[in-house]
Amino acid sequence: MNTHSSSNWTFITGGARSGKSRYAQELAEALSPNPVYVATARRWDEDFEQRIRRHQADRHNGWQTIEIDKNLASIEQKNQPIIIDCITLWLTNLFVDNGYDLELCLAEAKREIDQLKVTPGCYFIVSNELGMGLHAETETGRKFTDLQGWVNQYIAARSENVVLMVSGIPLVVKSTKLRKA
Amino acid sequence: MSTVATLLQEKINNKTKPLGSLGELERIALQAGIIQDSIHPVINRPTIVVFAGDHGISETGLVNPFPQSITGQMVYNFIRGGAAINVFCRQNGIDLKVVDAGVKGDFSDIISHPQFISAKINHGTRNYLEEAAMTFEETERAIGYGRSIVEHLVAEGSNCMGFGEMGIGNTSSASLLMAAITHTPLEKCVGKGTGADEKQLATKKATLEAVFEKHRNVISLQSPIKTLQYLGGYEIAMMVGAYLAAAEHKVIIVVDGFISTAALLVAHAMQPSVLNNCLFAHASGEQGHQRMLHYLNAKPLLNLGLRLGEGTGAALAMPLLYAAVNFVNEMASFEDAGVSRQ
Repeated sequence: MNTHSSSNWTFITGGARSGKSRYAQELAEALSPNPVYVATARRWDEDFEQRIRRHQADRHNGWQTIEIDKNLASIEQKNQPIIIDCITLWLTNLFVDNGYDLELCLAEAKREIDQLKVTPGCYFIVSNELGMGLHAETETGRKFTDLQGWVNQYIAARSENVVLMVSGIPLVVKSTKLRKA
Repeated sequence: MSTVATLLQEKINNKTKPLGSLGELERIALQAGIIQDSIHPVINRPTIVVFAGDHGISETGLVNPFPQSITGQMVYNFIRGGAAINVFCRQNGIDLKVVDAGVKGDFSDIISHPQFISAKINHGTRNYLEEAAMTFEETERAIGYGRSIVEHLVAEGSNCMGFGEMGIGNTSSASLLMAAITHTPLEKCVGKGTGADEKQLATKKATLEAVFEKHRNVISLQSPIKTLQYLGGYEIAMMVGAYLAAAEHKVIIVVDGFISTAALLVAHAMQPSVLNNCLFAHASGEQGHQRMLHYLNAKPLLNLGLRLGEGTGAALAMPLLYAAVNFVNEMASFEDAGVSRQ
């Protein structure tokens, strides 16, 4: 039986340090003592390792962390709420692997998102509003900002709930059924 | 008596009524105040958490006439709002959460439902006629999840909770745990459960005797967590964690019936002070529950012949708790009302 659609997405976007990850974690922890955390970061260097470790320390021990750099639909734990953190780093991986080609990368991102949407599960998807920040200095940077914007729109259109984080406060932009944190 | 207890007793005695005339309600009010360390006890966001889990023994057909699949079907019934517990929670303004502690089957279509908590340890326990119901690691994890769930509810502002359960075959676990922990002969702990007739009851008793015999060495260690591991279930282990965390966080606990009290027996064996936080909702119609209550020196509030589980007794008793804190906070004192004492 279905009380809900079998796929339920909450898209959480906002600026850097706006509290996106923390809010996503609160929502997931309300639904389960052991949610799944999907880290999309590739471990680029030692500084990045440090950041990953700090993020891990923020999550209590009930969390299961898995690392997926590209194929999001390959997540197997469908019985738990899942956080994908974050779309920006995931896109970085796709962008690099597609030789910084905007069109190719956008097409692959859409394919991956479509595939994820047909997998049942409860997802909290974290992204960034890069377009609200400073104008990128390089051509590649500007292309990436565009890519991020297109992909955010693509995910938000397919999400049941969309939340914009503003200075640590969730602003509900779109809601079919959002539980209060 | 603590200072709060003394002050609160005085406050109760000064209400415009004959001394002690609100009987059990006065006892409840005093206990609520002591738990909250306040002479103004309050009830916030009362919540019933129903823990559901399946039991390996049910697949044998030896202890229960009903198929195991009912557990999962009832989980959907809870989420749809159609079970007895839903009716009583709606009636009394109680929040309800339903936990998949270890039901056989997937619930991926309802994991985003705000009342559903996904905490599956496994798809049902193992058959304790053959082996331990759970691994030690699973048992510890289940207790941990129960703790986390309660801590989250506390963070959301709940200070009053009842723990219910759903699991075909779980009265058998409860009987075994009771026998092991209270040293009561097993036949005095076994009752009809979901509805066994005389012949089925005899089979159930014989089966549980065999289970008890098989694990006698473990039981004799008198380690509550080992006993729980061998004879319990995921929903019972999660309730144990829930009781422990609730007591640590000054939650008023309203204890339901036979299975919920069996989980409390385990929690109590691990941490005797949990009882300070417990009010006992009712005396169940399930044989063995009265003995459990006696063992815990507990005085049940209601006696309605309930033997359903799901936390129904706890949900029905919660309005009494409201009555108790309301009279303390809202009744006039003799001074307020200008009513003279004798």
